[in-house]
Amino acid sequence: MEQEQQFNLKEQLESELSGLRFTREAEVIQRTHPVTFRGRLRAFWNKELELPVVPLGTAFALLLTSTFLYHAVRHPKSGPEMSGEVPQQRELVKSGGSIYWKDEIERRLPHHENPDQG
Amino acid sequence: MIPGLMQKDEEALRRLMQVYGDELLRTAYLLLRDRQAAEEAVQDSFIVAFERIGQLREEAKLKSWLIRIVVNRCRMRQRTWSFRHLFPSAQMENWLAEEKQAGPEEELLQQFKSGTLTQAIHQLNYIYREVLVLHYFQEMSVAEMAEHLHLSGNTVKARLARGRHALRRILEKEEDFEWSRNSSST
Repeated sequence: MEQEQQFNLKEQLESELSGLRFTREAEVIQRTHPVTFRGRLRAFWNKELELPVVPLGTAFALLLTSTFLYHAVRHPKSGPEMSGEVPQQRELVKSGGSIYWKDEIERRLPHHENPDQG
Repeated sequence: MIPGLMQKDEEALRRLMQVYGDELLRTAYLLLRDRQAAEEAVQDSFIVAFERIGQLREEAKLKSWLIRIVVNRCRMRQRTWSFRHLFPSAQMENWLAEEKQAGPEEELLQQFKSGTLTQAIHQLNYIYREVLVLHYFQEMSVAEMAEHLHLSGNTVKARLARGRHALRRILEKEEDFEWSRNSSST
C-alpha cells in the first residue's frame, strides 16, 4: 500500500511539474568552459571556496582573546576608572578679554616673560 | 558519461544536464518554492558536480550524488535567504532576473500547472518538505534519506510521519484529491 501511495504521489508530482524544464545549460557551460577573457575572469571571481567554519571560528576567537589579554596585562591601568585617580579639574582664567586654561597660561607665561631662557 | 566528465569534456556535461536537469530542477522547485531560486541552485549544483566529479566513488550512484549536491544547495539557499535580501546588489540582480523572466500570463500558466499536491507540499515547513520530496518524488528509503541528510533513521521516520500527517490535513481540504481518500482508508 505504501509503495502504491509512493507511486501515485510521484506520478501526480511528475504530471504537475511537467512544465518545469532546466534552461540554464548555456550559463553552466559559460562558467565551466569560459571562452573569453571576461568569462575566465568571471569564472575565477565566482569560484567557490570552502572554508571550514569551526576551525576558522575557533582560531579567530582565540586570536581575539589573546590580543585582549595581552593588552589587559600590558596596560592594566590605562582607563581612568581603573586608575582610581580623580581626574584633574582644569580651571579657566580670563585675561585681556580672552579665556585660557589656567595651567596652560602658567606654563607658557614664564617663557614669554623671559624668552632668552628658551 | 563519467569518463568524459573526468576529462572535463563539455559534451559530457551537456549530456549530464540533459539527462538529470529537469528532474533536479523539479526537486529543487519543490524544496525552494521559487523557480528562479531552483534554477540557480541546479545551475550551481552542475558546476560543483563538474568540478568535483573525482569525488564520486561509485559510478552507479551518480544520480544519488547529484541529488545530494542539490539538496545541500537548497539547504544553503534556504539559510542564506535573509542575507541575499539584505544587500542591495543582490536585490538588484533579482529584479533584473525577474525582468528577464516570463510575463504575467506565463507566470499564471505556471501557477495553474503547479497543481494541488505541489502547492500543498509548498505549504509545509522545510524539514518536512525535504523528507517528503526525497521519499515520494525521489523514491528514497529511510536509510538513504538518513545518509543524505546526515540524520538518524528515527529522526527521518518522525519527520516523515509528521510531514505526511500535515500534508494529509492540507489535502483533506481539497475534496477532489485522490490521495486523501486513499490514505484515510490506510
